[in-house]
Amino acid sequence: MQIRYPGIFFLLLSIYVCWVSLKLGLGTLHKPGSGFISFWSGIILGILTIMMLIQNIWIDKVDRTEEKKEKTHWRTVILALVSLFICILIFERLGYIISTILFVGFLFKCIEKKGWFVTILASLLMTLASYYIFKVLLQAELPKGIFGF
Amino acid sequence: MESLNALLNGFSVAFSLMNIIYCLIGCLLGTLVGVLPGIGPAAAVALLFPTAMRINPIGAMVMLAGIYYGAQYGGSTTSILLNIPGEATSVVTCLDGYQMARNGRAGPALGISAFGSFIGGTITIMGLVLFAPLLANAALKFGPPEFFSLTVMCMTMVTYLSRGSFIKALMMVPLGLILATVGMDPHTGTFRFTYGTLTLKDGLGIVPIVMGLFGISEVLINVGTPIQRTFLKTKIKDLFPSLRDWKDSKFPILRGTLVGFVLGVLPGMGLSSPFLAYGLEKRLSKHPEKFGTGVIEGVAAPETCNNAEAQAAFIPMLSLGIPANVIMAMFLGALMVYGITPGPLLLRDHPDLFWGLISSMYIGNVMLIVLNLPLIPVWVQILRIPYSFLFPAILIFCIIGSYSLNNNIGDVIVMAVFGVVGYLMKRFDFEAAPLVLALILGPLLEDNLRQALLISKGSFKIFITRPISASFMIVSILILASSLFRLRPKVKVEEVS
Repeated sequence: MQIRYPGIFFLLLSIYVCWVSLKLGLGTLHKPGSGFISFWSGIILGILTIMMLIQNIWIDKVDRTEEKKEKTHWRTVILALVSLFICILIFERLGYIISTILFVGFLFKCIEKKGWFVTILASLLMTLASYYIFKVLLQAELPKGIFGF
Repeated sequence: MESLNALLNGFSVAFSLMNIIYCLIGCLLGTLVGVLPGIGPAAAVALLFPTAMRINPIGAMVMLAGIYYGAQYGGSTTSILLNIPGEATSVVTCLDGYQMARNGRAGPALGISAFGSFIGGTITIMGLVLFAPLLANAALKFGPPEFFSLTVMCMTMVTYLSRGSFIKALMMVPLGLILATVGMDPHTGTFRFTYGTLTLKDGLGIVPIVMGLFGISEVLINVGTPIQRTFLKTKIKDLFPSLRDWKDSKFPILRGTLVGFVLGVLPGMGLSSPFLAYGLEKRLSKHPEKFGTGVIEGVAAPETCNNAEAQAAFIPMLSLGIPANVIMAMFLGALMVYGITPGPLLLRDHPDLFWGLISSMYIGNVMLIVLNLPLIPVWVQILRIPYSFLFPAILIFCIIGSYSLNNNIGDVIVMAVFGVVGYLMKRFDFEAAPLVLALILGPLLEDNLRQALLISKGSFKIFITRPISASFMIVSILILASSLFRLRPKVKVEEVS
């Protein structure tokens, strides 16, 4: 049951890749075109996906009955992901320091459920320490944002 | 003799002050990463990749190598004290290491794993000095068909030996090859799968993808299903093993070195080598029933083996340009960033880098043994840092690392997207290693395939009429056939952990 979703995804992906590759041109065997490798990779991916689905449905039910997965805290995973993407969105606009303080603060407050004191202190310390290591010591380029820092 | 002279020149490179500092930083960071569960060596190398790229190629390779083999040293600490492997190759150490700690013998367990790693690493480097140049010279005779077949064999072997379903692992190879085609086709100048995006026009960066697949996904897994840590309250004393311990461990250390060396050279065998070393000791032991209750042989053999394997993996990478595991694939990527072509010509064109790196491993091994034994109490304290403080730091590292590559937010987006992909892959039991290998080897495979077909005027016979190429193809076919007949050995990592 669980494997059906990735199976459908990979099948659709392989069809799409083959379609784009055909448009790119397969060339000849003597002189393969730009779409040659991706086309045959798409075909192989499609065949293997079908094999996986068949194996899962009729022949081998190992994947379904194998080990029981531990309970996942979906809320924390989704919160971590959403905050990561929001941080990426504001990263260049607000600059490294502000976006990282907000990001780390959110992780501590909403995922780890820490108190305000720990949240503010830890997010400030982590941001400034990473800024010092990467920007000052290693001279990495970090975005300044609209506030200029 | 020639190798010895070259090695001495390598030492003069490795003994420069800056290279010693890079080696020291690499070893310390590697041990730290190995100690902390939740960041594997692959993620660590990926995280520090952009930083390493700011220094010269030799310094960068020396530091990244230090991280890699340092992580093998550090991984044992968590296995022994927490019963949680710091990284995958330390899984089997939990069996007897943790039991030894429970019996009040954490010190000798940590000590023998450090000494064993040192001995295994040092002997393997001698093998590296001996075999890598021989292999590189032999590989000079390789043409495009041989390199194509070798790449195919490498991918097949890595897939064959990955955990779980073979078909699922095999699916990751064409997926990796598809991802490798993103960007400009070097032969025709056509843009493939770029959708007018600047980030994609340069092709998908290896570093953001690896950071996403190994770093971000690991964080998501750990915040989603937190690890229960029960820290063993035991006094760590007698780090120097007794004479009795040495007597019991000397042959397991030697056999562990041999197993690690042989399997480290073969693509994809790394993860299974400590299991094999442990199994071998159990089979050869006069008291196999005691294995799992805290015998020192059960720690010495796998710990020696995983360090020997880590250093033996450099042989195919340096001499053939073929990575034996995903970390070696990243080393390959690092060399390419510097415009250095890995493979047989590396030894001829960049002897300083080749021998400097090998020599630095000797120095690194000495550093690790000298630093690590006194530092074990410090590492133990670091183990007490809660994961809630670690994962935001890992995420910050990932963001900075991927952004500072090209100062491009597109790379950070690629990293985050592949973080989600990696998380879903883990949830659905798809292996990331074959995907990364195919992604890195993809351009090499495509280029050699096109050249070979050009030489043969479009005939695929060229891959089976040339003896070396044919032998690689036969091995690949045998591997695929044996998987169909379910002859594949199972690496039951989860079972042990």
